[in-house]
Amino acid sequence: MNIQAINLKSTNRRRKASTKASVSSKLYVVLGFVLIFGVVASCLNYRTWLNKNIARIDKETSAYRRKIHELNREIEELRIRKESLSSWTHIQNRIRVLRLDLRLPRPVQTQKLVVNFDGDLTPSSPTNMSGNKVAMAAYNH
Amino acid sequence: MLTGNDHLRIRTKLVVGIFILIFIALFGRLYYVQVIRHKELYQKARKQYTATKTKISKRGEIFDTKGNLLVGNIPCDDIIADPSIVAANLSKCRQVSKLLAHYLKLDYKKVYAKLSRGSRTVTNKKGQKIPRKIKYAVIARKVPLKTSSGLKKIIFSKEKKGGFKGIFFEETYQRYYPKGELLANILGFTNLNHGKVGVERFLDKKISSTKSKVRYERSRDGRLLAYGETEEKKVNDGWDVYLTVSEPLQAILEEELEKLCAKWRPKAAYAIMADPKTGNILAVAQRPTFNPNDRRKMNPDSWRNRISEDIFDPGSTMKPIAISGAIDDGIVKPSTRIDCEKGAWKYGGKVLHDSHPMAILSVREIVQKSSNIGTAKIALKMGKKRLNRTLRSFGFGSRTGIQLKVETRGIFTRLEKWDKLSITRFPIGQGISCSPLQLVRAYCGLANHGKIPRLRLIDRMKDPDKDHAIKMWSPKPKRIYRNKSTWKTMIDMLVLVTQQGGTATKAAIPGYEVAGKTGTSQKVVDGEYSHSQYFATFIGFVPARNPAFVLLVTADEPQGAIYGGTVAAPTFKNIAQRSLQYLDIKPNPKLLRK
Repeated sequence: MNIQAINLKSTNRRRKASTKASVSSKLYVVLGFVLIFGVVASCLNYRTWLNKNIARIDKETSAYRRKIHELNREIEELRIRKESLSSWTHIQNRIRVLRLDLRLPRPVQTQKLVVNFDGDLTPSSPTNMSGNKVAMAAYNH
Repeated sequence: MLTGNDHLRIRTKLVVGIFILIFIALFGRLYYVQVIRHKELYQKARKQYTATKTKISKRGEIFDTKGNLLVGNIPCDDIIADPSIVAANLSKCRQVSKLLAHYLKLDYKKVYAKLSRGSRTVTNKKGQKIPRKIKYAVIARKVPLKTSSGLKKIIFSKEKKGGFKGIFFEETYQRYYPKGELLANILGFTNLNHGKVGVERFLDKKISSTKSKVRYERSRDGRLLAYGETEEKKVNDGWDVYLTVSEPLQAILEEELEKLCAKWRPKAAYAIMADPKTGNILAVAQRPTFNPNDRRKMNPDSWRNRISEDIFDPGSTMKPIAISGAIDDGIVKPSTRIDCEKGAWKYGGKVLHDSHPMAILSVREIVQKSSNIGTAKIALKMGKKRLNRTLRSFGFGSRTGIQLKVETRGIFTRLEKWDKLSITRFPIGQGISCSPLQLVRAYCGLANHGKIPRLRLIDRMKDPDKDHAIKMWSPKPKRIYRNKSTWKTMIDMLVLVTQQGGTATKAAIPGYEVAGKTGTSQKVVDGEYSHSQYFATFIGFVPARNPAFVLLVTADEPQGAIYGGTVAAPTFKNIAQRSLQYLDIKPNPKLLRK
């Protein structure tokens, strides 16, 4: 029979030490998991927050876009209305209604004003305007 | 006996087992959903989060040469309903029908009938009758923006409270002619977005709008998602067209032609103004005309483009053209004297008359007093071939090539088929017919120092997406005369027509030399020349030596007078005088003193 003498004290001490080590290692693993889970969760949370913001801005953008589109359509309509009001038929009717005694000028009554550009009219600097030559001539035929 | 540890182990295994089973079931479901039913469910989901809408581009606009809008597009809305949604709640259907009928000034019963019919019975392939939902009903088309936006506010505000669902607004455009009747015949009009007459028809392919379907991923409230996928085919706006016409000159022409119609009550009348150097048509007016914005009053007789489609005998306006050939070939000189037979001359078995008896006249006087006999005798001296060549070189018998669909060649018999009388009748504008445009082109040749230009109506076209313009090509004017001084001689003679002793003194403008010719031609009725129906014409150019424009005025069957010098010449004067003022062409002080 093989009988070995065991030191019970030392065995208990060893067991206690190994239990301590396994608890701390488990704690590390759990902490690691918690950390990873936390990172993933915050990433997801951040993404959700971003999505929410994107959706809000998207909503605002499309509202503004729709508004711009509607304004553009209104501008287009006004442009056509302006053209309609500037037609000679309309002006003539207004002259008649308002009883404006308008007559065409006789040819000798009209003068032509001509602006002669000598080079570029854009000033090289805001203060140096004298460098540009602007000649204006009024002539009568 | 089982210890506490064994119980724990068994329970743990049981829980793990259950979890494994749950996971297996989940994976199974996942496989079923993601792999087996993937296609079907994907389509279902896609249908829910994608929407389709139709995008319409704009039809090209038409402008005058300086960019004044002549034809545009007014933004408006088509109001559409989905009866399968609206008819689901009949009390709301009644409410929305009342609202639409009130706002759009429609018949309530008709609107309600459209909205309340949510389905219709159709026969399927097996011959069974099955109900099918109606999902599209047009309530009103081309509703003005102001009305539709007011309606939209009510519909959408109610919709939020769960009120009116199933009413949609589709954006569209309506063709609009802001200047009304101005240039109506040339511009034409559209029907169902396709040009029917005039420039609208000629350039229909180029200026047409296009449609395309846009498929986009949408949010719950129907908005397009910025990060979603969008399938879209590009739609291009139609090309913008710039005519050679000038709106102010056009307005003058229209106004004066209206006055002519009020005074002489003709069956029809037209006026054409062209730049003889470039061939650009500066203005064209015709009566009867129409307002393309008011379709109810339009009739086909007023749509017709008389200037390019109709023909008429040019009458005496042909004389200077024929005589210019004789002068160019050196057959006669302005001073050559010809016996005008005191008003009646028999040739080829027929008697030719002058309006007033005249004895011996110089060629200059023949033009000034418009002698038929004198002109016929000059033509006889020229001979058939020369006369034919002269008239053809001025473009008679051939199209002007103007950018209008349906253009006549006129009637000009081939030389081989001329009869004995042709040589005496063609030079006085009888037996030969031309369109008003052909006559204007011929006079552009006389005015432009013997160089005949190609008439142009469209100046340039612009692609709105690329923002570049394409100038319409035009060939160099064609030289007609061999002798360099012929045109000067002709102008000297044509100036006499508007001076004392001429047939068109009423066309004279103080301070300017006016060159021109009257024409009073009989209309052909049932194959014979009528003695009661006439065309009264005046065509001329001013200032004679350096013309700003060639102007034709014609009245078809005027009442009260028949002569071109009486009916058309005063209108010519009024138009020309106002146009010269607008163009800032000053009078000659020497002529003013005279």
